[in-house]
Amino acid sequence: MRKKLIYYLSALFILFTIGAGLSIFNTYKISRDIESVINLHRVEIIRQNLIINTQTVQGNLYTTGTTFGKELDVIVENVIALEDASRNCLNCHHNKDVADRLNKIVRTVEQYEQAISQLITTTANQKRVERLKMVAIGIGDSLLSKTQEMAFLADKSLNAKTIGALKKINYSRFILLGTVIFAFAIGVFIAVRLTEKITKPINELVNATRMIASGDLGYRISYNDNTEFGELARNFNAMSSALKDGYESISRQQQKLAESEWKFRTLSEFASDWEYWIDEKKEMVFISESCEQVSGYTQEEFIEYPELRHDIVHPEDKASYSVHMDSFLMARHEEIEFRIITKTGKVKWISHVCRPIYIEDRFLGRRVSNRDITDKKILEEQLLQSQKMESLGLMAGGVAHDFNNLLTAITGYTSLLQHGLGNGDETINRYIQQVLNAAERAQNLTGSLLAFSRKQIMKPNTININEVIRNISDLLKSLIGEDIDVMITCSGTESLVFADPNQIEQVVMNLVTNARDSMPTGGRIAIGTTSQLLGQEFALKYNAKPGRYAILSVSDTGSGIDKKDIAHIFEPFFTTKDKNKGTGLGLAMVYGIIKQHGGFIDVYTEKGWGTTFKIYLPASDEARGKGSETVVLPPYDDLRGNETILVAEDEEAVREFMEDALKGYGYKVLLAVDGTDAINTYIEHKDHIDMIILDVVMPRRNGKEVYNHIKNINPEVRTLFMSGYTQDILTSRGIYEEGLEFISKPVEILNLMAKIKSILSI
Amino acid sequence: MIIGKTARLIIFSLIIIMTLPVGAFCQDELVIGLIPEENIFDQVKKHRPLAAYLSKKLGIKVRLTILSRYGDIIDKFESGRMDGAFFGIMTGYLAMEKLNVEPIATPVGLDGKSTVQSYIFVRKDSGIKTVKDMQDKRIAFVDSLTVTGYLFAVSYLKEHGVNNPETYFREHHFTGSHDSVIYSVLDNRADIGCAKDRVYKKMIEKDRAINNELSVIAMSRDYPSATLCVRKGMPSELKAKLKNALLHMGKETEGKEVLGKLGALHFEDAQKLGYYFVKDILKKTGKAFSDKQDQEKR
Repeated sequence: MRKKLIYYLSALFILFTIGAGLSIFNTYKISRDIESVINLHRVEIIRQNLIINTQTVQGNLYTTGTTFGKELDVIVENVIALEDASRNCLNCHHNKDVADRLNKIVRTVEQYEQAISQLITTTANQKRVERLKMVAIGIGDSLLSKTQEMAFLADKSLNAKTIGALKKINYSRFILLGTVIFAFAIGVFIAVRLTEKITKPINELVNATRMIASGDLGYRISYNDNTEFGELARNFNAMSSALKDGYESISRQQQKLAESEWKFRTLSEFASDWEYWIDEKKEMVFISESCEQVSGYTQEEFIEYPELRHDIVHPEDKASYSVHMDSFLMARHEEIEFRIITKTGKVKWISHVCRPIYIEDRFLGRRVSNRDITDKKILEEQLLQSQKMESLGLMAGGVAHDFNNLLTAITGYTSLLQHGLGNGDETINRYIQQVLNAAERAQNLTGSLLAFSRKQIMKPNTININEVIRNISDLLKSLIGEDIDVMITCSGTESLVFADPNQIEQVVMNLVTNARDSMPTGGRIAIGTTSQLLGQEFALKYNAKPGRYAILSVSDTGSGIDKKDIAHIFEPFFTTKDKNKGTGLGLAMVYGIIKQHGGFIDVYTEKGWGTTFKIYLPASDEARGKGSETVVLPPYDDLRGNETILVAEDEEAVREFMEDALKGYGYKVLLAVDGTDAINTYIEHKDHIDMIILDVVMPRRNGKEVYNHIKNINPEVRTLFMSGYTQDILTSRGIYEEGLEFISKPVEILNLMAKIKSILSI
Repeated sequence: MIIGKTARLIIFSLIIIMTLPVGAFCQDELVIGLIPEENIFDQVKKHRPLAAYLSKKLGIKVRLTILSRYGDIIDKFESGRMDGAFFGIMTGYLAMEKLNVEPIATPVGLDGKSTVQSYIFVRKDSGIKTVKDMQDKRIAFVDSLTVTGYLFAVSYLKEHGVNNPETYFREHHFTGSHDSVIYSVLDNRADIGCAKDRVYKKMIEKDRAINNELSVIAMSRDYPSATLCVRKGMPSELKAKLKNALLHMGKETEGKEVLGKLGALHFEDAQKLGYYFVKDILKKTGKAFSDKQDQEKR
């Protein structure tokens, strides 16, 4: 295009230059002609002067010698002026004809001068003088005639030249005007052509940029030639291709980034740990969704109110937490443990791992991982308790062993003394008998201690617990008394365990005794057996192995146990009974025996309502070997659901466990802390609630009352009762009726989910 | 009326200024006369550059005046209408005798000579070769007051036995200038002519026919050429300045150009001694030809 532009402009310039040149040439010619005309006019004046001078000199000659004659100097001046005039004429440029004529005039002037000079200077007779005079006058007349003729011809020539000059002026005007008009027309044509040449590719470029702006990356321009616009179009096409490739590359990168982000988010969402990132200004730049799982507070709440993460720290742990926060800028990894108070008010133990983030020595803040270690802490406490119990057992066993040896000696020698005395002194015999009685009691005591310390000699065998209970049922009834009802409900299947039947009998006897003692005014004792397959999670909670267990439960409707006493009830000599009513070794024996058999104990108690002890004993291999005993749990996915379940449970730990478990299987959960709260929550969300799970024993209104109320609202309501008490106890108390769905505490998750699934499928 | 001291002083000063003699050098024009040695127009044109040069050098206007006759120069000097003139030998002699004019400078010709000769020439086709052949022929002179154009010829004739020239020739006339004499013979208006050699040679350069058609049959001795003389009363300062300008113009470029147009190499100091023979020649010749016609013409 640059070349074309140059060509076009050069053509225009050349055209204009030619026009201007023609005009200048014409102007030059005209000026020359005009100058020539002017010169001719001047020459005309000179000729006129020549004529005038000639006439003057002629006049001088005619008057020479008269009173009108001029002085010689004047005549000389006139003649010289005449000659100058003639030579002036000759000096001009003339054609040959004119030049010849002028030369003749000049020569005539010279002759005229000669004649005049001769006339003036001669000294001769009058006749000769007259003759000289006539000669001079004749030459003068000839000169005059020639000059006039020349003047006439010159005048003609002058007129012709003037007309010619005027014609040339007109012609020059025409050329100039024509040049201007033609140059203008050509200029307009070139401008239009150039404009078309320039605007066409520019329009294409503009259109292409619009197409690209509208998202059509890679749009190509069809314009192509060898001009700069062609190159621009090619470069534009290359650019749009590069843009498209770049965009696609960026898109791919973005897709990868999005995938990476999705993976990270999924991982973050999946992670149970509460992760967050605090920048160098202590502002939160990231927080994982799991914060809600751990703390109960959502991401948005933490982001809107950043101080929340400090505020939820348990007051007793704030001091140590502050010390940790003061080391924010220190380049060290820190791990602390503290408690937080969740949104629901629950206290949770948090393992706080805090690591500084650096990129090339630039401090970017700290990354924090908060892990809920509440269960771990509980296990630790349980472990501690176990260790304590183990220590106590060791100590008690040692003492009992030594004491048994001493008692052996005491009873032995006392018996020998009694035998030696015979029927002698009655008083002494009575004393001896008292010693032996005391020793027997001491032996029983040591036996209990040995049982606690698991130092009893165990004679294990595969036994059916149901048979054990049936064997001692009469003994138990006699032990309990008439004011207390005893209900024995054994499972329909055999509850086989590998155990010492005597020790199992001892366990049942001790538990029943305790139950009796908690009901001084009477009540009911329910003894039952069942079996259950425990999952990993449930087993771990009791530091036991998962698998099938036989469950022996002893429930009473007694006074219940204070929560503060729960942790100590299995310790030797711990008792809440009156001084003479217990040794404090009964439950310790139970604990020791069950531990010695690889089982564990769950205690469920409600103050004023009663207590249930559940003894879990590993089912014997024989029992496991029976095909009928193999329990095939349904797959995880089959147990999942998305219905909304209202859980009414006054015990916070159980309530939270239920919430976590149900949510973990996809259910939506509404919680109620007591019976009244359960009714209100149901009324509020009745359209969304698919099922209710009611703890039987709750404050304000028990589960049965809640059920009855809700049933009036929705007769078809699906309900599951749960309780740590056996159904017999609950039925006896009138808070449960046969035919309702029931699950006993402690609740095993898989069994719970299977139960819920079966109820919802009805 | 009481006249103030200042007014009286001004009036006195004016009176003193008005009574002061006009200084010789206060003239605003220097008039130099030219004798019609050649065509009067050529004479004027030839001397104009010199007049312009001198005007520039002297600081006053130098004006030329041409004379129709040699004799007029004495009259004009006497009437005070000229300050100086290029005198011929005869007129110079007379002016010095009568008017005490002072010779200033003499031009040296292109041939390096400051002298001239007189030629007596005839038409070749006239058959005249001697004075004897001249009898009853027509003779043309320049002027009765020129040596080279008249007196030498008369002297020559007398030396060759023509005691009465008035009757010896059929016709005689005075043309007034040397070139006119030559033209008269060339144009066959006369058979014999007498003129200055410098003019004769100059005209030969202009018209080769002169050399072809005329022949010189006698020539004189050397005479001083026309010399610039100035009037007696000319201020000495102006006179000295004029003389100095003339004598030094050959050393200047501009002066050389002027001299070239005048047909001279330079000017040299004029000598009175060159005029001693005029008396002798006047005595020999007397007035041989009447210039009655001239008187009539006038």
